[in-house]
Amino acid sequence: MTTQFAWNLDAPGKRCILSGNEAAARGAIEAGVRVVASYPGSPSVQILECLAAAARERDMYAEWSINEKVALEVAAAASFAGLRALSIMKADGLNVAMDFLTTLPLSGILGGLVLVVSDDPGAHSSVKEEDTRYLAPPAHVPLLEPSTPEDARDMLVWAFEISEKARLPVMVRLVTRICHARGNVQLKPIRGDSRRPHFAADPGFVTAARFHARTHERLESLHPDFESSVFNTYNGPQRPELTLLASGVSHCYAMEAVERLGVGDRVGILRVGTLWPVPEKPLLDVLARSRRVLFLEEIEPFLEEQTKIVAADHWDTLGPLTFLGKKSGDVPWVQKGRGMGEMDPDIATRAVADALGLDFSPVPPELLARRDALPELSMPARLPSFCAGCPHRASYWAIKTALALDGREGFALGDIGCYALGVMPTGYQTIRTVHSMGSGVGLAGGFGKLRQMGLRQPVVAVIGDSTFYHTGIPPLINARTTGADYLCIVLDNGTTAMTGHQPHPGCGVTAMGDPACALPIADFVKNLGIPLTMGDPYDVHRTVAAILDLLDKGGLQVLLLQRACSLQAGKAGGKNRAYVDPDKCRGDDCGCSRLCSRTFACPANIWDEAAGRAAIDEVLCVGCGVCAALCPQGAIVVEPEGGQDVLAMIH
Amino acid sequence: LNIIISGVGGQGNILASDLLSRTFCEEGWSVSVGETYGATQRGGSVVSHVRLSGRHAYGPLIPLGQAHIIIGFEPLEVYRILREYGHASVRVVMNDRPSIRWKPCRRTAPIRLPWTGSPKPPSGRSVRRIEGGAGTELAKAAGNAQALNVVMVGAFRRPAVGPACQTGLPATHRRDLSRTPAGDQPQSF
Repeated sequence: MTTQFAWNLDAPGKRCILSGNEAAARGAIEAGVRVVASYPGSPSVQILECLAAAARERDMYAEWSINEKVALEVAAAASFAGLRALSIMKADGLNVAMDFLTTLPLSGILGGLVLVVSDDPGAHSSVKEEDTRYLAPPAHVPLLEPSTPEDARDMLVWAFEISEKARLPVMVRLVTRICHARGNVQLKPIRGDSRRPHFAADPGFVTAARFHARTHERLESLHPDFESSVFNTYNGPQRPELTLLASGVSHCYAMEAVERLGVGDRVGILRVGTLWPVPEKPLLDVLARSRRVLFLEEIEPFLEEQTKIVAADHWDTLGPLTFLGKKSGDVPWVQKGRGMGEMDPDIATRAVADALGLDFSPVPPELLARRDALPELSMPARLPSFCAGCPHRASYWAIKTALALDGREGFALGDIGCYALGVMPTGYQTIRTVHSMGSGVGLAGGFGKLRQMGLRQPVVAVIGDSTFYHTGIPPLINARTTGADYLCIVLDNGTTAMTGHQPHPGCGVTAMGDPACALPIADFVKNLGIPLTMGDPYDVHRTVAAILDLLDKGGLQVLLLQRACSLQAGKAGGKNRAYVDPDKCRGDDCGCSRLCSRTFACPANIWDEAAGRAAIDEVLCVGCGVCAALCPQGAIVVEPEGGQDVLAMIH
Repeated sequence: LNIIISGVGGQGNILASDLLSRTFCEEGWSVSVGETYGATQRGGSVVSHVRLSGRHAYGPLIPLGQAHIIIGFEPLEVYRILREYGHASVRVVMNDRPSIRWKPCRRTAPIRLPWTGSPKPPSGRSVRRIEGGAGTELAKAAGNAQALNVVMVGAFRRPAVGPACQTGLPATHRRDLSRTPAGDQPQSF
């Protein structure tokens, strides 16, 4: 009876629980998608994983592409050959693919082409809160946004239809609270498709500015579909005191706000599911019946601005209106997660209550008083941490130590991946910049040319293996040509670890599990003629010495530090056993200030309060031995126990 | 009905909420689940909001002060959740083994748990009843400390509400549950 893999069941009518990601994958399967390409990015990683798992059975092709631009190009090729195709990326990835996306509506497409973009309000797993809805208008791409997982499935299916009809790619914006939410989805029939792809001589797919007018006509042609779409629905009284305009998951919060406040007879809700081109008719209907409008949406006030444009176009018939939203300050920006763009039921309810002049406190005052009376515990912050035995921790220890020993105020630049935690205490706050994929290396290329103007500090760029393939190679080529002076340290853990161990071109395996040729990073570096040094981050003292030596030499250098991600190595089984010799550990008399559990701070290094000695949590410990190398008393013993050379496993 | 499952990354909270939500779905409820894990990786706070309704699906987040049941995998995380979502009639099922990480690079005073050792509520007034127990120990007794999530779901069955019945679980987990003492005797938990 299990509903696992429910996204692939051929069981119309069955009610399942699917995550937003699974539901989007299900929508693609129901629509008969044939080619899917993506680069892993949270929160939408699982969509391609679901489709890759079903690919063989459904006669589909799924790939993890080297980056998002290539992914969209792979999907577009299938569309040109008449098949339905899907590309998936996180918001940041759309920027990478944007160059190609802006040319697609001009060339037109043939088979339905859908682009799922996942935004991350609250920046739960991103460095920024980018609202990709703003990128649809300049690209001339129609934009949809679902409110629930079931909606995501329905919208995917419809997106393929309108894409084929208008001959335009269609963008579906998901957010974290859709991707990582789960809800009931009733399965619908799967449209089987086994057509043979063929690239016909006619129509052509040339991008040229002369097709700009045709693109606008195609967008215009969608107006009737958008204006009558079931995804734009109004619920509420005929002449509401206040109308809530909600898009995405905020629609759920809007309904909950009205229910909690008991104001269903005073407040109407227009849910806008087709966001761009703006569905004018339903908007005008609502604006004509309501003098006051409140916007509930995630991240930026996109719907608010689009609605104001419509209102301005029709100001003479609409008359004065009051708009309440993020722009007016009536819907507050509230810090949630690491950002301020996420909506929740309490923000929504408070905004509606304020607009109606009602008293509302999400927590009743008497409960607030009780809560304040609770003892203040110094709660552990539970900051993100590298896993026990993570090779990145050892690498950052070595980099930080070497830069300090070097003594010339050298600095390290990083970017996106697990190793971005190098800005946090778990990475000893070693890296000083984190921007976008590959940017650490690009920035180092700039710093490395400031030598001639007198920059004396050593420059280190840190990049992970998957990021190296994604966008790390062009800046290295650039530096090789310009003669930029820096040390690039590649942290190669043999996988795309941050997003859940997806394969990359160095892994020798495809998204569908087929063997592929592995392209070692070392070969790229050697072929570029850049001096290459290899090392094992677990060998921390030798790594420090190597970094010091390379900084001393100067010039463009690459240090490749290889060690399998400790989570993957742990799954492979066989590990050394580490323990603290209580006779050698001198506890707080040592003077090391609990170096292993406080400073090195691997989760497996713990402090035995009763014994007053360091200890190892053997459940967590992977036996890497780095702490043993660092302990000033040599009190940590590592015993090989069926241990194997993990390095050999990656390459 | 609003259920919050809280714990620390790596404890299996997500699978627990998955088991519950699938079970409730089979029983015909409208279920919405919202999960917060992001980049917490192992050792960060992980929270699942499970919302059940006979009428329509709610959004994936539970409003402040509106939890009905809290399933806590870790005492400090229960406390964290109670401060925001607790009220006088909330019920808590809690594993009593704390998981504490020192802030790296800093001297930190040991954190004292006011109620460790005895499964007593952290505050008698923001909670109706706490069913505390040695979930990790029970899971170890069942063969694997990583079975904690199934133990917790089992413990939730009796004191909470009816529909999380054993038949609703997938075969592999059903087997785990039948091996798990807490699954059959939540009152001894």
